[in-house]
Amino acid sequence: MESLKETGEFLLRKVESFGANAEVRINIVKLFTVKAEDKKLREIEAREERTLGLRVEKDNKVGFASTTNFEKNSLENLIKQALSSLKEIEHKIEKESVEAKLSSEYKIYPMGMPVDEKASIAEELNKMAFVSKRIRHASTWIGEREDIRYFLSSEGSRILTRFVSVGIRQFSVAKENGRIEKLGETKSFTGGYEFIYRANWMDFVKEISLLSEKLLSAGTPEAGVQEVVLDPKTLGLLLHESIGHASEADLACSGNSVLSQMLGKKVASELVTVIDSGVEEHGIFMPYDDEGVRKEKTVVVENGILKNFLHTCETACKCSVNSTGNARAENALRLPLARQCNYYLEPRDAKTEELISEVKKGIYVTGIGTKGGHADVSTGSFTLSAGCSYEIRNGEIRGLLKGVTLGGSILDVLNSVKLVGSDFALHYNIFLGCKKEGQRVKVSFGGPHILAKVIIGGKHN
Amino acid sequence: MENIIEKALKIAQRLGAKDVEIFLEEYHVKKYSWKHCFENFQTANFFGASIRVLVNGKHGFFSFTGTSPKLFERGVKLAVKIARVSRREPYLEEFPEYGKSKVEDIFDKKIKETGIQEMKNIVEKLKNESEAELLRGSLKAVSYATALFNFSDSISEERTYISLNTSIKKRESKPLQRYICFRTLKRFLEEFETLKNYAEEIKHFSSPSQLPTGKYNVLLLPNIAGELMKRMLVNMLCADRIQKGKSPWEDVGKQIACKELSIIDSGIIPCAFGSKSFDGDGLPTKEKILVQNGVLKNYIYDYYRALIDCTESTGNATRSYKKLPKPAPSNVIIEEGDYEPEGEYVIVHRIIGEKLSNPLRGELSFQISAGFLKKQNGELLPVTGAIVHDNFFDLIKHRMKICKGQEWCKNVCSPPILLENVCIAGK
Repeated sequence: MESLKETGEFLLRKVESFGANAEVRINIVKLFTVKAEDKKLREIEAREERTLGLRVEKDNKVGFASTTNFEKNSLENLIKQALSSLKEIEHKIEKESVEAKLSSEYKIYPMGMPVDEKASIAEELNKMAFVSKRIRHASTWIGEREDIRYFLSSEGSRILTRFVSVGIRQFSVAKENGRIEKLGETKSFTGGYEFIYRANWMDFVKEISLLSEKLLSAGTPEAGVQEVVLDPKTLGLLLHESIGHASEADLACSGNSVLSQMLGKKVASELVTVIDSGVEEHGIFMPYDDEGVRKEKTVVVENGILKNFLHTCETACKCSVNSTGNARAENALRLPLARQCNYYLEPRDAKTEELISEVKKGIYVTGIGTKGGHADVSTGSFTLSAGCSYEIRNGEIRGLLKGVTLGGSILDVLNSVKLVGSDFALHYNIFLGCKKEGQRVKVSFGGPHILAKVIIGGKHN
Repeated sequence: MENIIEKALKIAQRLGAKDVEIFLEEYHVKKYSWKHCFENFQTANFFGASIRVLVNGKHGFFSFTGTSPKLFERGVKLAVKIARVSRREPYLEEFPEYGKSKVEDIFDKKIKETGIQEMKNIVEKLKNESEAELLRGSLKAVSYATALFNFSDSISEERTYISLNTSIKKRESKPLQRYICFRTLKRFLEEFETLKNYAEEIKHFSSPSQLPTGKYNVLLLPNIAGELMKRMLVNMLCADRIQKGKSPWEDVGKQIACKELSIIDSGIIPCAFGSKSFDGDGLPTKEKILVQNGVLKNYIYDYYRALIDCTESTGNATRSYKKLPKPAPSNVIIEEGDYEPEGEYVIVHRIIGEKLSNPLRGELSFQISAGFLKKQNGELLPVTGAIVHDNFFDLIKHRMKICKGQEWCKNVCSPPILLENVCIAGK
């Protein structure tokens, strides 16, 4: 059973012969990574993951089973497993049948390029990272990813999507007088190998090494509530971790989120409008979700008012609304959950310099080298690690700061937004993803620069 | 499957591989999950494989999912192709000879055969007996098998585990997360009983306030203390980090912590989550002292990193089908002390953001998502949303007290730990 179509159609026919309906998800992910380390090629890794998920529906009951084995006898066993784990559902979910075949754009298919060329590029870039004797260790990665998803249903849907992306990652360790600093940063792109040819990657790897050196003598922030200017990457991460997860309907509609009772209420400053969409330039490519529902733009917050949660078919059914096309699974082995896609703040009209000049004493937070964040949506608290950051004194950017941690209450921070910039950037990371209930999916996030107040972890005098 | 492997090994030999290693990973999962009024049953059958070859002193690696003979044949060819464009490998000339340790209670037939309805009954029983709400969570029963093959040898093992991950709330309390995981059903159910006490403990966690910025004594409960010690110290003792200069702990024999701190790593503890009879390289797992009375004693090695340092592997190679082996702790045991907390201190029940700490420069950072400020008079005030940010090197040397009692959380067994004069950013 090598062909996706053949496998999917076989399963549908078989399930239907038991008097049941089915949805079949097939996912193929191809990954290729070249890693150079300390001036030498270290690893070349290639991987291909094929997974298949089967959801059956019979007599108002549903069951789910999944496998990596596409052999005919294994598929027959899969049907038995799905039919033997049926549980009752309250409402039957009606879906439109869709036929679509869509791919993200690219010029040069990355996995068709010669492996030795990629190995040489990674090795050469890695050598450039050793800008001085203080750089003790450096790793450079080139990564490629292709994600093919095929959705078939007894209702007639046949949706094939393909998402191709590439990225470069640099990690440098600087050491001097017993002090060690590390810094890692990634640039990723929805597209093909043209991305590798397009930019000056030597400058990128050198910049990361130079910044890791500068961190050796950087200061640490003062603890407490401070005014901060957040760059698009940090803002995006903050939105994603705070209101993003809190607005996912499986949490919000089950009383697990700080936003559970807040629909139609003010949750943020009126400058805040938050969107989630399936396809954005420089973002991820997800025109349809893993339940075969088209992912349209969803306005989550409009001028500070909470408008919508991010729904799957199941949560939408419970809440008597339509799915927003946010059902996403890491692969076809797992059931989809309500997840974000391209999540961002809409820009307004302030210039970045205006935001900085407004701050008497605060911090300019950038996302270069951020290690991500985490939110507890039930208590409404979040924390995230800032990247390289800078002190602001009397409207001017001063010295470099390290170890800046942002945190606090989701609602307090969103309500404290004082100015929103006119610029815009989205960030996607091919090497990492967002993890929820053990499932890691690709997301992008971003927006403009903003000025707000947050709690900063640091020294206490 | 043996025939497929044998054929794949022959192809590798024919293509000029000096040595080859095939790693297989198979698991079957039964999962009952719920989120308030939503609930799901699911089963998953997973089979992953990786092929590692050595060709003319060069190394190639390819991984995939599925069991078809064609996939194995293609995998071998791709691994050899990758090896041919790789650089010469200076240390790894051949893969090691396999061996096993004796480890008890890592496989339980009852877990393998348990049905989803039985799993649901376990959760319902807890709800009824503890009068608590389990808002969101999952109960998972997993049977798991790994095997390694090379030209002359093979080794395999089957393990099981059952895990519960749930947010739990009682009366007016905010929900708090709890995780239990063991390799046998009997041990799991024993621990499961303690959830009733936990529900009782947290019932006063309602309307939490934010702590004012300042310095506090902080009592980390065992699951949190263990997680932080593993992240900030034990993970940094892995030989790959030491060799790359990515660890602050570069001197064996040096006093790195207070005398009360002793830590061992063991892959052979019965029933523990990190126990197995052989590691990801196919070598026997072992027990070793990492820190004794505050003195750094040993690093954690896999086969490859041991070759670089001209020493023996400690049997700590971890791997999945996706990745090459690398050293990692198996089970971490922090010895209990005799300290009893007194005065005013913050009891930490749940934290977030601990992954954002920087172990390299000793920057301990996390947010207290749920806790209590225990006043001198014994009164408990619920607190949330404060950021802990302090120097870990200084804390473990001069400001750490190890308390009585130990608890397991996944593969770490730890006592409660009190940290003194900790910087907390709050309102």
